[in-house]
Amino acid sequence: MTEKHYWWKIVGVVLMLIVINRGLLTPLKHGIMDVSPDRIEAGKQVVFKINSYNANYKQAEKEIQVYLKHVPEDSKNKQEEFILKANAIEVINENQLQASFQLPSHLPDSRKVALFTLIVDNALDGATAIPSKIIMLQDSVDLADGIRQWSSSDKPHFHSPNKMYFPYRNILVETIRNTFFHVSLWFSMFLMFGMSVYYSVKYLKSNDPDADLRSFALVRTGLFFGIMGCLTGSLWARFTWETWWTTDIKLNMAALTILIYMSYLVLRAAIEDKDRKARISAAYNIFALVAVIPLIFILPRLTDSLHPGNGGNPAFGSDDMDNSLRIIFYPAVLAFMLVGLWMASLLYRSDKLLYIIEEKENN
Amino acid sequence: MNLIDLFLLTHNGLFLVVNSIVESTDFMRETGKIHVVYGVITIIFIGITLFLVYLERKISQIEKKINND
Repeated sequence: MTEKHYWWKIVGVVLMLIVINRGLLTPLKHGIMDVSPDRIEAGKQVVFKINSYNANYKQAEKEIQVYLKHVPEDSKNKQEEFILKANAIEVINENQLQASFQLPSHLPDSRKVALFTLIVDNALDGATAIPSKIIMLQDSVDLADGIRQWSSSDKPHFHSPNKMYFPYRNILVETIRNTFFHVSLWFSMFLMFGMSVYYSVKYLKSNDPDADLRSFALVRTGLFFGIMGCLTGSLWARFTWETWWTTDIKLNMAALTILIYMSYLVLRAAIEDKDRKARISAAYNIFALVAVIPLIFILPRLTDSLHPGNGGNPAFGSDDMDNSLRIIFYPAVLAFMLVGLWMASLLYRSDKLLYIIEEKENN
Repeated sequence: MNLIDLFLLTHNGLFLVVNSIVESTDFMRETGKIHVVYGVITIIFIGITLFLVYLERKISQIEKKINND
């Protein structure tokens, strides 16, 4: 093993520094926090008061555009969308503006009520939207007239910012940065448990006490990452899901994982004889991982979960992660894995020293 | 008012409840909840410190054994 080499530890620490620096200092893209009014009627003049986060409306005053967008749910053509441009915009301050619309008398929809997305675009911050927030009512349905009135405006041009931004998400806001610190802990935990199983198998094949020590050190480090993951996740949940602990399936399965590995430690402590201790804990460790994989990876995907990537949708789809997050997230996972391996190697080396000293004492 | 109208009304009502929770400002929710991120990093740092304490006790154990010989 290369546990006495330095290069990979340096790589881990440098990556960690980059992740902390970029993960904390990259600004969030501007986003719409709320809009009032959000219930409007077709055919009237309406003035929206828009409250944003991290915007530069005063600086970009001349180039701001506001749009209302509607995509009919029952439309056969999925590309079909209707966009209306605001006819007047008044900037109040950096984060607040008013946009007035002259609404056409009919909606481009065959129902009396339709949902609209509000889009704010400027050259400095790029475009941002608050999806399906505006509810528009109409007294009578006239689909042909609605489509005609809503189609007349020219195609809008949306800016994309030239700086790197993390996406703005309502409720999450700045805590989207926790993706790098909380999720990476769980990835690192699985590497530790996976590698410990490798050494457990090696022990059962060769009866080499060295493999047992390595496996034991990796399990303890993995458990450490699991407990850290639960604590950080709990804090994150408190201020986004408004509770320390929910009955979300992934949380309970993670707690179960921690209990399974806690009992591994108890089992190890309970057996006196060194050979038996190593053999039984190696066998237990293999079964523990086999039990944990369905708990974390399969069960949460079969049911609904608050965690992204569960309830049937693929993990890390484009809805949950965009490229600006990925470019920090993957180095973060690697950094936590390398630091975890370093911690495990320190545990293993100190245990090995104790083992050698005890062997000498016995002889 | 048909069923969809009713759904949208309750839907909107739900949003209002959620918004009123989000807009309540205490220390942790100030400036886009950035303090939650500091909290998470603090927890990780405390964890690493506890690991160092554990390692130090292990090394003390080794030192004691070597010095006894």
